Amino acid sequence: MRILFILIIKELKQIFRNKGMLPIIFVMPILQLLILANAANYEIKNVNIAILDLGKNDFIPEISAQLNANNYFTLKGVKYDKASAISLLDRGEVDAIIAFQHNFSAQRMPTTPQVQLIINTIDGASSGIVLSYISGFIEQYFAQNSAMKPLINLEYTNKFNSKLDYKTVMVPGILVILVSLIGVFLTAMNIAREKEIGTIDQLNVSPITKLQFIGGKLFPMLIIGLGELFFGIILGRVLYGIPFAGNPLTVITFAIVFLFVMLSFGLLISTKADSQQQAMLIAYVFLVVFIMFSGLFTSIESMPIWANRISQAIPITHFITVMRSVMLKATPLHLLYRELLILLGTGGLLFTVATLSYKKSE
Amino acid sequence: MITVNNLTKKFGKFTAVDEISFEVPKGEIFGFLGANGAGKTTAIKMLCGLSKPTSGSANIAGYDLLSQVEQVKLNIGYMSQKFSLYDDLTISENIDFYGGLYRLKGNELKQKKEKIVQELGLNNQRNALVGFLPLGWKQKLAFSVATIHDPKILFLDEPTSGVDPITRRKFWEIIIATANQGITIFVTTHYLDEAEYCDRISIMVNGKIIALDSPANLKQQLNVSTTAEIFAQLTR
Amino acid sequence: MKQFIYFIKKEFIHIFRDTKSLIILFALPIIQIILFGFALTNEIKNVNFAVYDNSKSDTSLRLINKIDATDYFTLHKYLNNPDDIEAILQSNKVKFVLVIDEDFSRLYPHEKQGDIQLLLDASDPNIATNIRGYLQNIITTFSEEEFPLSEQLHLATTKMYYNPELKSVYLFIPGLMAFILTLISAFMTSITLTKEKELGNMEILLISPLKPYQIIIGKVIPYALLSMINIANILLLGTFVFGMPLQGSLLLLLLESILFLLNSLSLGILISSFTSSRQVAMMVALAGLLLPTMLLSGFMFPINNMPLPLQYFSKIVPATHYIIILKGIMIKGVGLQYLYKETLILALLTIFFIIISIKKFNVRLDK
Repeated sequence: MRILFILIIKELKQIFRNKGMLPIIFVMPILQLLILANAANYEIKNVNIAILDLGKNDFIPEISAQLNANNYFTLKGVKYDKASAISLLDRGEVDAIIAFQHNFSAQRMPTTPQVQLIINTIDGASSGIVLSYISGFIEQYFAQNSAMKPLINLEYTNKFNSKLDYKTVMVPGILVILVSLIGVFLTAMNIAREKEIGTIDQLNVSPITKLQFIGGKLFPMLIIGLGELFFGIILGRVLYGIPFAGNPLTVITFAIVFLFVMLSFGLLISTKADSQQQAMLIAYVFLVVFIMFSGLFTSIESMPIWANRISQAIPITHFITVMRSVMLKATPLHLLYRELLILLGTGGLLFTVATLSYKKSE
Repeated sequence: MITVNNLTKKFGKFTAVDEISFEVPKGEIFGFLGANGAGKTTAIKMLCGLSKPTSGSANIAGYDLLSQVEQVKLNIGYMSQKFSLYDDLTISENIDFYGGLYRLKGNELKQKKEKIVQELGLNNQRNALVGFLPLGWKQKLAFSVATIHDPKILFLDEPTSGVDPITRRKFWEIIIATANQGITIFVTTHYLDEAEYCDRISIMVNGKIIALDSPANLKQQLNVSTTAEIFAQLTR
Repeated sequence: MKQFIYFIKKEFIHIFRDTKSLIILFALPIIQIILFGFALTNEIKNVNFAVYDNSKSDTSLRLINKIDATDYFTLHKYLNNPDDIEAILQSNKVKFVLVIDEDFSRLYPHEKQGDIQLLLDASDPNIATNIRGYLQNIITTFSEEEFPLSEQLHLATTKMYYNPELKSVYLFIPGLMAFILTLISAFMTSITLTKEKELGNMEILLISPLKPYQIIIGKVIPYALLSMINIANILLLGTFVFGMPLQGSLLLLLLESILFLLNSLSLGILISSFTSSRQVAMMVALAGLLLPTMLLSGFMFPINNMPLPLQYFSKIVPATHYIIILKGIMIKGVGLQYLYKETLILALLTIFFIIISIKKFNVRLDK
């Protein structure tokens, strides 16, 4: 359609001529991606520990030495009464206390724990992991140095991401979020802006069709969004060694569909909003929910059912899943049909509603 | 060319346009006068298909306004009160864009563009951003762009707002020249002296048309010598 | 002084005219807190797993049932073919697969250890480590229950000191508060100045008897008042709906919140003094601040684990300090003597933002 082409060219020209906006669209996301990729991880670099020895146990010096030798732990001190150990926790000098009971080696009661971990959970994100590290260390120590071996040996393998590198997961995820933010915000402002400056009347009085109008606003941003995604992926590869184990075509297909969904959403908001400010606020409300419920920063499975449902309705959730699956696990397309269908359906729906919502006459 | 029957527009309880009826023959310059807020812009927006009438009907350039609005749009040109060319596109780009919207292309578009640019004397600035043009030039350009697809009717909503008297006069010369080519002009204005340029004028007060005739006839009827006095008499 | 009051009145009228925006400004924080407070968690629940059981013994069955019976894990599928393992992990249907050795029930607990292989989908490293921790716990407990007198280490039920039930909510609410307040406040004030510039009203304001600092402050005050209502709403929700404690002084909490509020508002002013159009201002305030505030303030990810340069950077993110203050007052119940550092930084940052804004404003006047 020639008219569609004209509209796309016009939008692109306007975007690239807006000198103030260009760094926001191109530089800001990349900067954020590079910096935030380093921030987003739950890895524990160092846990400060205090030992509370309640039974004058003889293995304390040895276990202390091993704790210190371990790169993950720093032993801040050995205390012999609960109060002084707790005060270390209170003052934030240690993150956890390992308490060893009396009568450790003597015949013990089946229900009395010999070792107790007290963890400071103000930073809840790390607590589960701290638990994992410390208990792993302790069990290993006693397995090696006494007859207390675990009867079941759990050998674990971290598949697809053997180093448990958070960046491989976060970089694609944060990239998707950034591209979504830019895309939705810009499209949300677009039509509202034409309404505010008055050019929309001139468009409405022309023979332009609703489809051409909406399409003409969607495709330029689609092109830009795709560009940003690809650039981000390449950058991730080059700077952070993010793997790309799967098929690029799969990613391209999903990227197009995903952007189609998000941009239609932004345009829908734009047709309904009275001003750019309103459009931005409405878009913001939804985007923050999308980000929080996308599963990138918190676990979706663990959410209550109603929240899980919301999460499933969000396009970002599925696209992040797809990115992760294809880039890290080389998941083939035929295992991702569900995500594809959801995105296509949502996209079709939103585009149709956006087109129908746009009124050429009030 | 334009036939309007009891056209009404209500916004909730407020009636902006109250059952107006009139006819405008081909080639006429029809002036729609009235104070700000009288309902002129609302009326013109209805006639252009930008606003849906609450009741009433109209026939524009042979098409029914309510059922054939897209055909109406193909045959009319519009220049809105708010300046509607894109400040961040060049003169050339704006012309290409709007021409393209009306399905002009190739040589035809090129020729029309040349014509506009030459007539306005903007040849050397064709690649300048429209945002840098002074207001008067913007208005003239917007007018030319509105006629690019040779519409049968031109709707002009306060085309000379905010422009100095000399530029206003020059602008009207262009309007009259266009009318002489057989294009019907429907123009709203709150500048009463511009009424002199019109073949017929109507005066709108509170959504109703309280007078409709040629300026000469009205002056005679009311025994006054200027349009300002027509207005003063009628709105007392 | 009188003109100043009139000016503030005018700003209020502007705000109240835009009803839709107003509704969003008030409803937004409430909706977000409720949604996120109830939905977000760092605990594990309902994690799907699959099993490839080579021993198919009573013991292995009991173990699998025990794992499935917990809230943490849900058995999704029994696999019959080792080739299916890779595919099921790729398809995201399960987060881990347990492979039980043929010899499992024979070896355990008599001679050696029974072997179980845990294949974790580490493409989500956070969950992977958590899964490992909990699974290990369950398996150890299983062994103890079946063979209580054997010589095994009995590792305690861990006690989470400040948060006995590990309610994730506690940890999110302060972060949410900081996040919501920052963005809304910065957004609103970033627009007001640029709007006047764009619409050309700036000249009128500047030739009025109002001084530049009065204009800036005058624009901030209405939003400050509105945001204080938001703070109150959020605090009420946090305490009454989510049971967030308030161990410390309410007065201190409110004062610190007002300080943080002023900080965010002046951040918005700062943004507007550097941007040329409303569009850019809005984009910076929303798209620019969103992720950094979420990720660098300690809201989502612990700061201690970030690379050193980022740890320094997070110190100039105002939300970082506000979160520490909130947690300190509400959860730990400490007073100003523990929080003076953060309070001071917030105050200094605020003054810094305002000074730069005024300077920029004066420069613009000369243009």
